[in-house]
Formats: sequence, C-alpha cells, structure tokens
Amino acid sequence: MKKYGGSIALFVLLVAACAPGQSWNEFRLVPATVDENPLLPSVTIHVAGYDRKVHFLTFGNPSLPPLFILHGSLSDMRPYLPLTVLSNEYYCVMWDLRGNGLSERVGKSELSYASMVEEIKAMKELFAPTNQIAIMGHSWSAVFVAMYVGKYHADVSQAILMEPIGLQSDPMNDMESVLNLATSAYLDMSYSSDILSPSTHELLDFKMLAMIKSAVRNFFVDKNNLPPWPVWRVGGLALIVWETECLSGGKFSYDFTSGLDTFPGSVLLIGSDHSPIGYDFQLKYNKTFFSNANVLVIPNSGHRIVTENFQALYEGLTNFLIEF
Amino acid sequence: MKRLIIYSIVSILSGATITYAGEQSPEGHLHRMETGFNAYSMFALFHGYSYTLDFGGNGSLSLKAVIEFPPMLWLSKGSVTALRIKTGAEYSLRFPAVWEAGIGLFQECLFQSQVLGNFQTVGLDGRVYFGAILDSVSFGVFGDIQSSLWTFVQLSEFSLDAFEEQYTGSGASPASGVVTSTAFNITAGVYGYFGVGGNTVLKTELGLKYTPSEYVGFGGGMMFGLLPFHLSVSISYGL
Repeated sequence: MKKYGGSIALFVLLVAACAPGQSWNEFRLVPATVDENPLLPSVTIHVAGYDRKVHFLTFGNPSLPPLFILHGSLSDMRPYLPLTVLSNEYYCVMWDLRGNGLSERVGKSELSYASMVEEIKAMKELFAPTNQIAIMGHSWSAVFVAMYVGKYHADVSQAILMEPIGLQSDPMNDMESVLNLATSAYLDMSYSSDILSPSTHELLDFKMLAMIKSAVRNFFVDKNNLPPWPVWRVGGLALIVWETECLSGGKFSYDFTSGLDTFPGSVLLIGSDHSPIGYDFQLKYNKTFFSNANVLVIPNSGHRIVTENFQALYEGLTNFLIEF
Repeated sequence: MKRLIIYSIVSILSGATITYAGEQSPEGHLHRMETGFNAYSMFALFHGYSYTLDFGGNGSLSLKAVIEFPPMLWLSKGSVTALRIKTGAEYSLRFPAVWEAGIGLFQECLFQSQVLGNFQTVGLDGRVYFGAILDSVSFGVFGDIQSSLWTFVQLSEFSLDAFEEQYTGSGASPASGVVTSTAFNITAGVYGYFGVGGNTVLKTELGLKYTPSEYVGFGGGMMFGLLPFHLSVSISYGL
C-alpha cells in the first residue's frame, strides 16, 4: 500500500481539481449573490415559473411617488447609485435584475425579454402595487422598459429610456458596427481562454468583468480613456442571452414596439453625443414609435452617461420628472 | 513583475538544460527544435525542443519542452505580461503501411498579468493523433484536451473594487487565492507536416476549439475573447 501512496495522493489531488471554480480558502473571484450571502437585502419574486431572490435598495420616503431605476447589461445598480439624489422627490427603487449584480443567478430560459418585462411587473407588485410609477432604464433595460410601457400602459406615468438600441431591428442592421478586437483588454481576454473558461457563473461573470475595460465597441468619448463603471458583479449569461435572442441568421430580427404608439404617458429618450445609438439615433428612429416623446442630448458623453456627464443627466431628469 | 522575471529565468534555464542533455545523448536519438506561432492564441510565438528516444521497432518516445509568449500582447501593454511553458512526453507508434498514431501528455504553466489580475496556472494538456506518412508528407487528425488544474489568482485593483462599497461589509474577499479547474478546452482538427529539405519540416495545424459550457455555445464567447479556432504554423528542424 505504501508504495502506491504517492500515486493515490496524486489521484486525489487530480480529482479535487476537477470541481470547477472551487477556491481553497475564502477567496472569491466575484462577490457573493443574495442567495449566498443572507446579509444582503433581498426580496423574492416569482418570474418565469421560479421564485428568485433579487438584490434591491430603496431611497426616499415610501409615501413619495415611486421611481424605478433599472441598470443596463454588463452592470448592476452600483453605477446608478448617484441617481438617489432624486429621492428627495421620489421613492427610488433600484435592484439588480435577476442574473445580474448580486441577484440570484438563473438559467437561460429565465432571461428572455418577456421574462424581464414580467420581472418589472413583479417588482411593481411589491413596491408600488397601487401607484403609477415613473421608470427609467439604461441600454438593454431601456428596451425592457419600453416593452413594459407598451404592455402595461396604466402602470406608468413617465418613462425614461437612456440609449436603448433600435426598438425595431432595421436601423440596427443598417448601422455600421466596427468591433476593435485589437484592444489591450480584448487581447487579454482572448489569451486567457486557457486560464479562464466560463464553466460556472462565477468564472463567467469574472471573465466578462474585463469587458468593462475592453472598448471593443466604441461607445465612448475617448476609447483610450474609458469612463469609470464601478460594478459589484456583471451578469455574464444575461448579456449573452440578450445579445443572441435578438439575432436570427446573423442579423437583427425583432420588434419591441408593440403598444408604444398608444402609450398616453410622457417619454424622455436620452442620447449622448458620442455613441452610435446616441442622440441622433434616438431622434431619427426611436422617437418615432411614441406619440409623446422628447429627446435629450447629453454632451461630452458616450454610452456611460451616468458616470460621464452626471450633471447634464441630472438636469435633464429634473426638468422632465413631474415632481421636480 | 518580479514573479514573471523569476518565471522567465527558470524557463530559459530549464530549456537550456534539456538542450544540453540532448547534445550529450548517444547516437540514435533525434534532437529537434521547433519554432512557430499559434494564430488564435493572440499570435503567440513558441519555441520548443524535442528529444526522441527510438526504442527500435515501431515505437518512439519524444520528450518535449515548449516556451510560448504572445508578442502582440506584450506590445499592447508595453511589458512582458504572459508566458506559457509546457513540458511532457509523446509516444508515437508506426503501423504497417503508412499509418501512424500518437498520444501525449504535457504539464503546462501559464502566467498572465492582465486587467483582472495576475494568474499563475498549472494545467495538463493531453493530445492524440492519427495519420499517414507519405514520403516527405504526413497528415492526419488530432485532438487536444487542455485543462487548468490550479490557478493562483492575485486580483487587480479593478477586480477588488467589485468588493468595495458593499454596505453590509460582508462581501470582502482575500486579495489572492487558489482556484481549481478554471479552464477546460477541447481542440480538434487536421495537421499536415511537409518536408522542405534537409532536416526541416513545415508543420501546420488547423482546427476548432471548443470550450464546454452550459452558458456559451460553440462560438458564442467571441465577445469576451473565446475564439473557437486553432491555427498553428511552425518550422521544425533537426539538430
């Protein structure tokens, strides 16, 4: 037996190494989610057939009119926390969408666009069951907000869409999309494929955290000096699902505009002056789907409006929101 | 950076030692050097040495050592940020007529310093191939499985920032630690080796690289750098 000791020890080590993404101490690549860390504030919502815990924060007096603030893809609510300055006039509700940030991770089928709309509905039932809400979404969440507005007219008084992609696919197919695969961060990500592969949510989210620094798509004022985007944890699978569900045969194929033309509330579209889906794009395409929409330009900013020109965003929001 | 310098010195010294041992070996052993690049590993250049023990009959065992570095990555960073050292053995068998087959097992050490942190990985790489030899040309198919076993990670300031501002104060993590099995990749494709005169062989490999994951289908990870291709071109020359 003794002479096989070394072989057995080696075998045990190899077997132990087979479990992907296990750490040997309390070390973590990304922060724990609410289902792993009970100290984080969470509520449970029932969406797409499952009860899921979501990480949330509220600011302001609950008796004030509710304002829901939804983060974009490859993000969580953390970069949007400065918007809590709106809580002197609104009851601000922020949360990490399922599969994103510190909310519970979910499977692909639970991240469909329809499920994201139902998630907003579930949160409204919890935090503003009887009130109309003002609602703001950025990037992919602006799309979900548009879909929610189109489906639940009566729930929403005012909607703010910060740089959604085209709400119909035609302009997206016409848009020139140059990917810069030679950025330093992309080369990093590519070279590390033999070190990090996405076999667990933790590894996937960690690997995709590098995308915040990649500038593969140039949505920025200065692609060599990216604005900060502080997050706790990105939702890797959510981005993958959202970016593939809108494609068919390698082309964009979707229509998110159902019900938008009859939405009676007011809509503010926001676009920066340095993003391919910025002010000009929003004015030319997305504004046409609403009967009562204005477009606000944020100067000296790219897609990361919240961190690039917060002051202009704040002024635009307070001019639009009826409680100010 | 200090670790990388030590890492580089050790790898160069170990390569020199193997080369020296090869030069001292008796007649009948074949020493070869190989230099080339992996296109989809960020144009990583590699340089290797193999020392073949011919057992007589049909079988032979090659001991190999390879060092690989990505100059494109180095240039984009302005510093030495990644390195791979691979050592192991490959057993080849000749069959009647023109057929040959082989199986190899390698250990590899990878180092990368990048935006997420510093990574030092110890992994295994297994390889099988089957093909035919026709005069100065050989060709066939190969399969390769690469797995990281243990990765020592030092999180960068950027990665550590994700643990900041957690108002409960409960989200802290040590800045470094070891994580098991952080990567697993399967590559399969075809190879063609062409004698180009003397003791020199042009070696080419073309294949597809698959990273098993329930989250990312084949080719679905390109947005974050999982390139599903493999292309390697090298020149191998006998000493």
